[in-house]
Amino acid sequence: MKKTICLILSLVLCIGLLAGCGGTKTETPAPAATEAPSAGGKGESALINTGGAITEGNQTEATPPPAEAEYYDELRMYIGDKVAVIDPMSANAGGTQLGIIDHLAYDSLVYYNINGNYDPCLALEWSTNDDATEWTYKLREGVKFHNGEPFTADDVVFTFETAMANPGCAPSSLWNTVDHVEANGDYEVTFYLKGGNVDFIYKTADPTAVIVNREAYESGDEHAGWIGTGPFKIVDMVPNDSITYEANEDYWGEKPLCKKFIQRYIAEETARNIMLENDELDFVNVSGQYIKQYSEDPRFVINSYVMNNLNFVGFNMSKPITGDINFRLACAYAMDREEILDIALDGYGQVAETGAYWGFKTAYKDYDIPAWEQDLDKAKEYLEKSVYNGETLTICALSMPQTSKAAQAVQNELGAIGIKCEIETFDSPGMTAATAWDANDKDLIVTSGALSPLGDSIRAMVTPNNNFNKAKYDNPEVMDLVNQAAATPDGPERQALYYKIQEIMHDELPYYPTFHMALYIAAQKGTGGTIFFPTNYHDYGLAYRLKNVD
Amino acid sequence: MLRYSAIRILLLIPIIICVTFIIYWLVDMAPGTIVDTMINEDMTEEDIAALYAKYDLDKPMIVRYGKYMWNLLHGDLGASQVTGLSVWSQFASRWPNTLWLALFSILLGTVVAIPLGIFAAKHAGSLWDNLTTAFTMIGISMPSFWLGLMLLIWFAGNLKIFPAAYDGTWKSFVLPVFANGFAMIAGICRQTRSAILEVSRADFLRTARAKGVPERQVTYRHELGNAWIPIITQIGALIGITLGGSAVIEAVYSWPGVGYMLVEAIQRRDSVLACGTVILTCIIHAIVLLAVDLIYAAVDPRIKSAYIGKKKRRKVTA
Repeated sequence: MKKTICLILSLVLCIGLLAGCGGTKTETPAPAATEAPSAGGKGESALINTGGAITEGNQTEATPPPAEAEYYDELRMYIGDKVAVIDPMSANAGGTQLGIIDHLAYDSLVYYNINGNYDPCLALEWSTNDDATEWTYKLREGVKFHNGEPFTADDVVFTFETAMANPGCAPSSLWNTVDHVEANGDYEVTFYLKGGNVDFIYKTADPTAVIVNREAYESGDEHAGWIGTGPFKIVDMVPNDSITYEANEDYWGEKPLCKKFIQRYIAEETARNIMLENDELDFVNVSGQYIKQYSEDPRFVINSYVMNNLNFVGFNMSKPITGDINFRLACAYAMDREEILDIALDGYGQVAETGAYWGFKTAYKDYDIPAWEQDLDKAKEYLEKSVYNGETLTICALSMPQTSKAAQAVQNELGAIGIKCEIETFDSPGMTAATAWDANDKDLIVTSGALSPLGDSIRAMVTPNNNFNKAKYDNPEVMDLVNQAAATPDGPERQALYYKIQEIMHDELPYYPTFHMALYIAAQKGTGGTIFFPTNYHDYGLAYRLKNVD
Repeated sequence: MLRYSAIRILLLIPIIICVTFIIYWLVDMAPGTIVDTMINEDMTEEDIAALYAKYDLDKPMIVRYGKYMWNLLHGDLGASQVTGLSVWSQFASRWPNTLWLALFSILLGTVVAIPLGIFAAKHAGSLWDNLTTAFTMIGISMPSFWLGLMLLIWFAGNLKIFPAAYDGTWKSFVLPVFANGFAMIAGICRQTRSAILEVSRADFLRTARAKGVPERQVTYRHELGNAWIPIITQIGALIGITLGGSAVIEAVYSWPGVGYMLVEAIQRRDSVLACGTVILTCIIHAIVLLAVDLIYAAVDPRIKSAYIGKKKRRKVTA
């Protein structure tokens, strides 16, 4: 009897072991069925609007608080990424959360608002010369830094010079077209550009183009980088864990509605969702699988927006197979953007609306450029005409869940017409290195590209030798058009140039656009005052949480 | 004994050289560098080249490693390439959290596991023994991240007794200590059971019982007294490991310890912080192992006499 039991148990264990060691064949998961609201692209309702900032119900401005309201003194948010350094002059202070921190603790010269217009900030007025090579800003008087020092033109000059000495920091990248900056008295500065740029105003309105204090840096203050002019002062920071702010009572603008603001990084999604439910956090990013749950829970509101960035499949134009237009057309007709979105993000996003590489709300988007629709017969026809002969190609993907799942979807869809692919995934620095211009020997690249609201943000993706040109796309005509457009003032002529670029990129197909990611931020009921930007640089400066909310 | 301790400490030098070289080499082999975490769309080729030069990435790995070791020789662990803060200060700010987590976990593991192991050994082959074995098997097999998540969902999510993330209060210790300590309970318990069973048939126990020594005294004084060595070895190894940080538990509970700091350093390709953390962890591990060896002598007179015997033999020869 004992022997029989032992035998049975051993068999069960062996079967369990073998099951556990099963093959790792990649199969495309079935698209998740969901009743939750999905992105506007599918024509369903409505947590996402199609234009940037939304709080609940398609509002495009921050929700103003009711009069006579009582607010919580402390607000706590989950910061979506680790922050190791707070110093606008450090190349290590990058990351997606930089803009959020900068909105809280610092100010730029100009404020780029949610409607795409420019508002005065540290600069009250600005003007440029005819060829857009000189930009003059008249500065606001009476502004004080968090250390009590007055803000003057000298701080702008110092910020520019320090940024230029620290390549990689955000203002340095934004201002690398500037030759020098001169102070004209205490409250006026002029930026002298190396060449004309009609969009330069944006480079001074980007939330990461902040102004720092000369005195703080030159005094050797350990936390000089924390000193800004923004509505909150940074009072504590634990690297990769938390940042604590206090309201700046001397703020020149509208005063914050809470006294203390805490940002925390919580690596584990389950933990941060529990913290939201236990009222230990007020704002938390939630992934697709939890959206329905939180949108139906009366304790929370869901804020959502579509990111400007574009997820894409890049074809390495320098390789014989992917450099063949027939092969690229075969792939384009084999792929299905909606299926890729369903697999990558459970449908929570926006499929690319056109067949050209362009940001979700980037200016001068040509909506007449047709999107690529799946047609397997056409795909096979083009594949026949191509140089592809059964080789196994490499898909290089970022190891984030949405991009690696998107790569699996692409692998399966291309497999359906007989294109064999294997997937290689990399973390962020690995991906940057593997797909750098000189090193890139991959066939297809599945990742996302950062695009600002400016048409000129296409530049990096089409410039030879630029590491963000993942397709190794090199077309002098496109480069010419990009340069011409950058020097042409807003208007029909500029529009025609950007439309022409999109037309060429559609026809040559270095990039197949797939989707724009949607982000969802669950918040405690009664919160408001936040502005969610499609660039991810959200403004929590006037965020609040009301007491006594039903 | 002193000579032995000195030799053990000196042996750390080749170990540190090997370990730092391996870490440096592995970080270098990983695709991407610290500069690749900073590059953005607007940077020019000159900007990127300047960053490579700033971090010496334009030089071969062996040159960078040599420079690092030269500084180390002068007692300089360097500064994190990301934060610019000294490795020592970053380690020192995080290590107390790891130390408390490790100590409480070990305390929990020891207090529960040793009596349980003795109980199982005393009832070897009975239902109670089988139940204990099943419990320890579950403890060993259960991945700590899974247990951590389950505890999080139940005690922080459903019952709302404990916080879901580190907040500096005693309450935030409970779940990570239990998640960390549970596997230790299983390991130490099994070790205690087998060590007790090993000595349970020894002649001196039979003699003690024949002399009328009470069973409780036989168990705790004679049986456990002679079974300590493997148990101490097990506990020492676990202390060494947990003092190096438990990256998984620290990640689940947002615990600001050195394990997760090391993972972050590698993710950011911060080779100076990664190497410095590994060196300090190595030293702590070696000290713990040395302490374990010294404790052997304290608890087992045979080992102590072996040390003294050697000394005497040397004197006699002289």
